Amino acid sequence: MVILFLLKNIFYIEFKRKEELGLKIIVCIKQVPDTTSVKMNPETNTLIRDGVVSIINPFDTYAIEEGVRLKEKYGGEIIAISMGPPQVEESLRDALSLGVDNTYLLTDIAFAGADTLATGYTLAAGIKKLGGADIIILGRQAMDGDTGQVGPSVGENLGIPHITNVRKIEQIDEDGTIIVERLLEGGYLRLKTKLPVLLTVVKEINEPRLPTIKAKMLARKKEIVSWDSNSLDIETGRIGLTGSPTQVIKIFTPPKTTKGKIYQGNVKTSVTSFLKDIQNAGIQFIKKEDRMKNGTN
Amino acid sequence: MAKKKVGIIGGGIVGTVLGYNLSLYDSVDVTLFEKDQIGSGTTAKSAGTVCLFDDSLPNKFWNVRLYGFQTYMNLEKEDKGSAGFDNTGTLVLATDKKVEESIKTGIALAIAAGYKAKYLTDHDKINKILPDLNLEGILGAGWTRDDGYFDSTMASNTFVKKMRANGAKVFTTTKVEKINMHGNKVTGIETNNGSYNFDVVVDASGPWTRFTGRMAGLELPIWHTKAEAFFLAPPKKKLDYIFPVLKYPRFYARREGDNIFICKAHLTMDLNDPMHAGIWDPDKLQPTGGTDEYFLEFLFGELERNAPGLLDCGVASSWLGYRAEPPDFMPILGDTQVDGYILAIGCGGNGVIEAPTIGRDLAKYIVTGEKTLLIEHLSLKRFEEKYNLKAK
Amino acid sequence: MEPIKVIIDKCIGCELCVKACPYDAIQMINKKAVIDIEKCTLCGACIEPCKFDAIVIYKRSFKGQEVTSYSGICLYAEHRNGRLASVVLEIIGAARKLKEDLNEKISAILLGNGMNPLAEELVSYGVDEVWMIDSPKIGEFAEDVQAELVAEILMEKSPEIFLGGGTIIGRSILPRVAAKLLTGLTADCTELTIDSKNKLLRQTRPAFGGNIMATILCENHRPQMATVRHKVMDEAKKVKSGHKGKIVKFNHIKIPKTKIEVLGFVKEKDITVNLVDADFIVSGGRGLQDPKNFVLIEELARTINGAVGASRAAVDAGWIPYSHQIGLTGRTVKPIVYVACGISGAIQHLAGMKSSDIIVAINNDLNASILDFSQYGIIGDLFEVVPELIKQLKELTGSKK
Repeated sequence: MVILFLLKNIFYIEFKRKEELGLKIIVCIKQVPDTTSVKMNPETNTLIRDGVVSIINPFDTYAIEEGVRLKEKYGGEIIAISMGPPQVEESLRDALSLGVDNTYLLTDIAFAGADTLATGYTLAAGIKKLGGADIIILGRQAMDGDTGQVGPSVGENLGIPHITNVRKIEQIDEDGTIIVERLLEGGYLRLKTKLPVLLTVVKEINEPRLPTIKAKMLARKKEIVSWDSNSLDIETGRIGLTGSPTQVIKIFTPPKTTKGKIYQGNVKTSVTSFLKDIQNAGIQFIKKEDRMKNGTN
Repeated sequence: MAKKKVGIIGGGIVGTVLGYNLSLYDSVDVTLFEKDQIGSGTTAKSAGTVCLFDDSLPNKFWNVRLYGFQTYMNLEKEDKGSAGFDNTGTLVLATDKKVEESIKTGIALAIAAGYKAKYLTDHDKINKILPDLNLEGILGAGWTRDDGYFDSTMASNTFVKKMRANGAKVFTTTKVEKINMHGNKVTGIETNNGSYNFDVVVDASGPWTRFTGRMAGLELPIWHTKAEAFFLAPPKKKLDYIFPVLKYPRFYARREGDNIFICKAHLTMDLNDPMHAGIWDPDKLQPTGGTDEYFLEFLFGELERNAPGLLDCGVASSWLGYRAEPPDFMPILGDTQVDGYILAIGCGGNGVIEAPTIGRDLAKYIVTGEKTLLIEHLSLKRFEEKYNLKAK
Repeated sequence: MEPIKVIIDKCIGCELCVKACPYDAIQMINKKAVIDIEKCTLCGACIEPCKFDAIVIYKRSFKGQEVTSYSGICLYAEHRNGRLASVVLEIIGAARKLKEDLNEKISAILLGNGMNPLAEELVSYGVDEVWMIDSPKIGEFAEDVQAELVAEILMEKSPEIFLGGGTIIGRSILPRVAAKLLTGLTADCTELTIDSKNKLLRQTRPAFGGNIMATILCENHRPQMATVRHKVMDEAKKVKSGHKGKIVKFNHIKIPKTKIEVLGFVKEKDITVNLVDADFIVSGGRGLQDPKNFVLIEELARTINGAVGASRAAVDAGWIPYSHQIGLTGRTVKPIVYVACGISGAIQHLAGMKSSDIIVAINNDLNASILDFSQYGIIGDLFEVVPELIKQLKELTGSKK
């Protein structure tokens, strides 16, 4: 009984502290090539990487915004963490100009070539070194890889509850209860769990702010901390290429009809044959709710 | 008589206006080659400000400015929107006596041409037009409601439509790979889509000029300067006034939808500063992004002094373009050392203003051999002494 | 989840493992072996002596596993409201093709309450074995619990391949399972084949915004896991009667408690389509000639439940607010289908939409540059084409219901 009482008190103190100090929020971001600027070399059929602009993964900007809004509402600290080569600093600096307080870059040649499993493990190690967090937020997926697997992978590695495709954080209570809305085909789920939690967020959750010129100038003066593999408590066999079970063996360009099909002449027959062709190409012009129902019908 | 065959390299604003002007002559058979899409290079990244008065082009070239403005306005009259005109007016700030003088002359010229314009010294009146400005130390401002900016890609496409209607050929996604010569005379070109014979080849390739010229054995005195621009989103998302074309000696701005387009003035670029100028590969330019840190610093400084209200604007987007600038920041027009190889290059930051006059005068020269003062004045000859124009 | 475990059903309490353990980590409780995970070093000394294969270790080493002991194609049978997700039939279709090359049986993991009818249904589509836990304790949306159970079953059954749907649920559960089993997972595959030489699963998927395709292997880890993009592969047809399937229950696996409580599911009928997220976008440009004509664009968009976009020219003309502008200085979009009506395709506009999966241009000018980027171009007066399109689409979607 006494022990139980003591435990209760400890928890009470801990949550009380939280209330005073606010939330510790960590946002994981990825630097990606701006796919709208990715060009293909038609002769070699390879990606032209030259001069491709790197940006914060657009989905992650919603994660940053949500983190900043939570901090504005509940107080606390927001940290951005990323894994990648040294030039990811630019993106972390962009995060700073969006309202992030501190940034950490996990950068080491040993991290290179990581698939989603190794990335999740490495990011989780970085988060552990930061002492964990109350809320960890990621974008639902990266624009280059489109896997959406790193979020759950980090969550599993940290051993905390995690929820993908969150479209709204309804409330966070003093006792650490959090209620969120989670997108699903055909609607959304309302889910309740306890902090600490990891969320991946969808675009519906907010409208990210833009960095002001002033904020961009201030962000230039802030320090970005870099950690290599030696700074983290990790098994070297589980990071980078060695730690990645999957390997890409072939990359190719999807066959694309360069010049499209043209319909001319009689409008009615043009439209009819167009609709026939596009349906044969796998496009279904049906209402979104019907399509969503079909997703799990 | 056989028609004179003219090939134009480059489908930006200069090439398309020239092509249209040539297509007006029955004695000419004109073909235009664009390696990408019409108006997709420097033209696409132009602010399109063709104002009745500002310092971008000296007042002695008033006729060039006026003809440019009227040409686009005529397109608009024929078919509204075909030059993408946005009638916002222009506000030019007088930061010192010299600028003030030039503004006053410009206003006088505009009034003489039948436009309404005035010079304001009352700070309250200036602030009424553009509330976010800090006018400390500002002598006055020139103001007209009659102009604005154009969409230069739209205008280029309109000129292409018009020249096609006149029977000219326009090839897009067609890259000129070789210029064929016989002795010192141009005979034609080779492209990725076949070869063509020409009597005259015109280089209107803007920032690609340096590379195009080498195909004809010329090292043309053109340097790239960076045209970096930010798109600023006002904190309240929407401005509650019409943001005019705003010109300071060191930067200019205009509206772009609900946002503000802002750029460093081209005459502030120093060809000897590696941060500002060099010879770069325009093919590596991306549609957005790529601005340098110094540009942020520059803008921060300018806005802090002149328009502190705009510092709270979000940076919605940005881009980097290359302007093709000769050492005197004026275009190079007409003949070269190579027979039949004609230049319409080096318009730098003024291509949209200058293109209509260049197109008209150069077409006339190609067809009749008659040189206007402009062609005379802006020939390649002026660089012959100082620069080695032969390609290695 | 534990890296080593005793399969209770198989353990007969012979105590051979207790003697083999150098770390004194195994003891007998109620005549079953229990491993003290604090003491265990995963050395594997207990595996060999056990005559009943009752102890399994998931090797947390990346030197690679003993991959030859894995066999079979397994899939995750997602369901909702008592019905199988349609993606499951697509996966079965894919699995049956793989079976032709691998000659291994197809199994499906089915978790939930009252699952017998679904198990029968799975069999009727050609599944050989349904691995089922049928219990009211498994919440329909308890992904954490389901992932744990899936991992347990996979550990016990060691299939070579494990597939799930590229749905929101599939793409939540499978990454969890992959992280628990420390194996590879390829997201949203559009093609799955068996490599004729090494018999590995070749997983092909788009990347870089669809600009490239990548083929991925998972050589040294099992199972080889993939989620399958919805609506790409053909659904399996029912197999002829006579196909016998087996239903295997895994009642010995303890069902953990979920950490996430479901407060409710809210159906959304009219999801307002936001431009950036829209699957379908219909855009208008200068060719519309008059602001009133945007009604046509809106009507077409409504018909396919898409969003309305515009070119800069239309926005500059004041026909539609700036928030609809697509292009270099507006928004960048990547819908499944982008319909450009009366848009010539200036570079500024192209920059904002050229990575759309499919571009359809409706234009009266055969020279319009938008046609260089379009998969389909309908040449004609848009005031005739668009109404005709709306009419035929309405007939089409109407007849579907």
